[in-house]
Amino acid sequence: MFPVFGGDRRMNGKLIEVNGLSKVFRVGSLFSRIRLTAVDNVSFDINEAEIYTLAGESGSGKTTVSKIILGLLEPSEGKILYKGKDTTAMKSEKEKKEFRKDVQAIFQNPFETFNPLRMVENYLYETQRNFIGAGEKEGSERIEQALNAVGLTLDDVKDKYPGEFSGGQLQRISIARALVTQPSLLIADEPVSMVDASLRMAIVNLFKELKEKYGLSVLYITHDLATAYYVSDKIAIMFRGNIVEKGNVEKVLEEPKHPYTRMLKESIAQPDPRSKWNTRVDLHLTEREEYLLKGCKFAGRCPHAMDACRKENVPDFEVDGTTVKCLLYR
Amino acid sequence: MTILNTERLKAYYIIDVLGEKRYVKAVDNVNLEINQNEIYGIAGESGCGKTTLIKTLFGMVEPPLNVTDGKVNYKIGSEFVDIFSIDSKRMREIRWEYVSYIPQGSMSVLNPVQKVRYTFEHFIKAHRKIKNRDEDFIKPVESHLAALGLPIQVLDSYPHQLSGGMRQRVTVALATVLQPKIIIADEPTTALDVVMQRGVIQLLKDVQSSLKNTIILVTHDMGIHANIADRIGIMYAGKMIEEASAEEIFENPMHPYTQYLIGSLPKIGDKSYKTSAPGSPPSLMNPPEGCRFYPRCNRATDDCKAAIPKLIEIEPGHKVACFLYSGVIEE
Repeated sequence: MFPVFGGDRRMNGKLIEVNGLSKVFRVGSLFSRIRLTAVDNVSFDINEAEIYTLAGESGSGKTTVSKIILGLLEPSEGKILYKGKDTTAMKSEKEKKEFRKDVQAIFQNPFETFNPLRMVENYLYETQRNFIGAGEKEGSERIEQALNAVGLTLDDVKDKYPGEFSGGQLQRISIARALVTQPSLLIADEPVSMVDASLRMAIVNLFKELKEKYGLSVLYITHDLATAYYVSDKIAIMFRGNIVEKGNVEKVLEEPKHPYTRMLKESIAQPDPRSKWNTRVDLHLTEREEYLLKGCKFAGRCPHAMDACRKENVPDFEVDGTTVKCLLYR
Repeated sequence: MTILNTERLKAYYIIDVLGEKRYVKAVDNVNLEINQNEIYGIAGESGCGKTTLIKTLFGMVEPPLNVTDGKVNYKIGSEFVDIFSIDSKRMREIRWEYVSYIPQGSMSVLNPVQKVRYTFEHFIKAHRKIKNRDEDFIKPVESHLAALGLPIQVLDSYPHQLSGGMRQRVTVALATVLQPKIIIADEPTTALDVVMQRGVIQLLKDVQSSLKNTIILVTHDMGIHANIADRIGIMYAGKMIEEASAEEIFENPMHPYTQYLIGSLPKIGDKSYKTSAPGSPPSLMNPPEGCRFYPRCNRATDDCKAAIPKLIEIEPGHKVACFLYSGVIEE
């Protein structure tokens, strides 16, 4: 039996708290610098044994958030508390290593994750050497357990190169690699967008299973609202650096409140010829123009936009259990 | 009325490995009948041969790809023309004027160091004589863009100044400016955001309903097929395994693979357990004997291992290649 991950967790507590996170990039040439707020005052919490989705279109800032959590980018403002400790203020290598062991990442394209000239098992052994440091025999046991959790065995991957696996299998192996350290949180950035439709649900089901069996939490970053609805407990919808709506996934996606969420939901191509699109859609200005808007970034396309939306920074409102950043709910 | 058909089309990649020839059977014995004024969707996962199929339909066959057997016919006027038996000059005339192609990556179509206007001008010059620049080029292009709802300013932009969705729509405009009878589109919405996808699909539908022509659309996204296609063909490992109207494919899928494919689609409002087909698609270099899906099929019998089922019309307009429905063997 696989041990429960992250042994020192507190029961039923918050695993990670993201508070007022912002990231400003400076873009443009030397003389025409523009401050682009890629992530703007973003806050959310992930509980233990919870799948949390960060959804949005490209350029919404969702990957930037995940990079800041992983420590790959420095935030301009804000705090991240992981199990009560501020990760941005971590100084000692020991603390940092402990954090990296507990928070593991999976990336979008499994074909790019693995070096084609390196046997895949090396990645598993390397992770276990770096973080666990146990001997070969005990290490193999751990790796076997991690592979079993994703439905593979060590014999399946032994002496093989990435080219000998399909995309779905490679993505499973990269999940197994992350599980070797027995983490509490997996950060999965678009883990299924490069995987074929007939194999996609197997990966998504794996997240559910890992959550239910081992109490693992997952931050699932995606643009695909249908799989987000299927797999997650909570969701935050991002648009141009802001979280415009967050709450329980059923609430947010079944009865979307923010006009942007509504438009996004309507724009999904439903796999049902009886529910084709019957309205037309207006397409937006360029990305950068929307980032630079004052007030609500969606005001330029919103059917309900008022003068106030373009002037003031819109605060969050609690409506019916979800949090919505829209003046309609003032 | 048929506008394009294929007869027992076989397109293989022939790779020379240390003096030994290896065949990748990307399109293996495909028969298609595509009608005028319809949108025909081709669905399947990566590596099933769908892109190879439409490249062959467009006559873009370059080594290592070879058409080893079969024909692709376009109906031009009242006669069928086999595109592999005509000379390259005639093919150049047919291409873009009669049949056009929208590729997947819009960035690689538009010249990055020239304004979009230049690309349009170059494209039109190759097919039409431009005597009076105003009459023969600017006016038709501007009215074409206006009809598609694109701003005229795109002509004076460089490709990098446009967003991905706008670039893809400019590519659609370019491919349709000569009013072709057949438009072949390869994953035109992949890599776009959902809202942009909707914009591109909206545009393709508008083009089709005003020109009354044929669109052959390849995508792996079943949601897009449901929204735009009239008929859908499902490909698996180089073979067409099912073909029916969009409603039939989604409501009454017959082939076990199609059933898995439709059954695994997540939908908002439905939290029931979805599962994928077990295993993964076969290598086209060495596909299984018999039905290519049998190693993953939960209803496979010994017959499936022994012979390849033929694509047969089981119900009016609904064709399936599976021994569950007919015993006909593909020769």
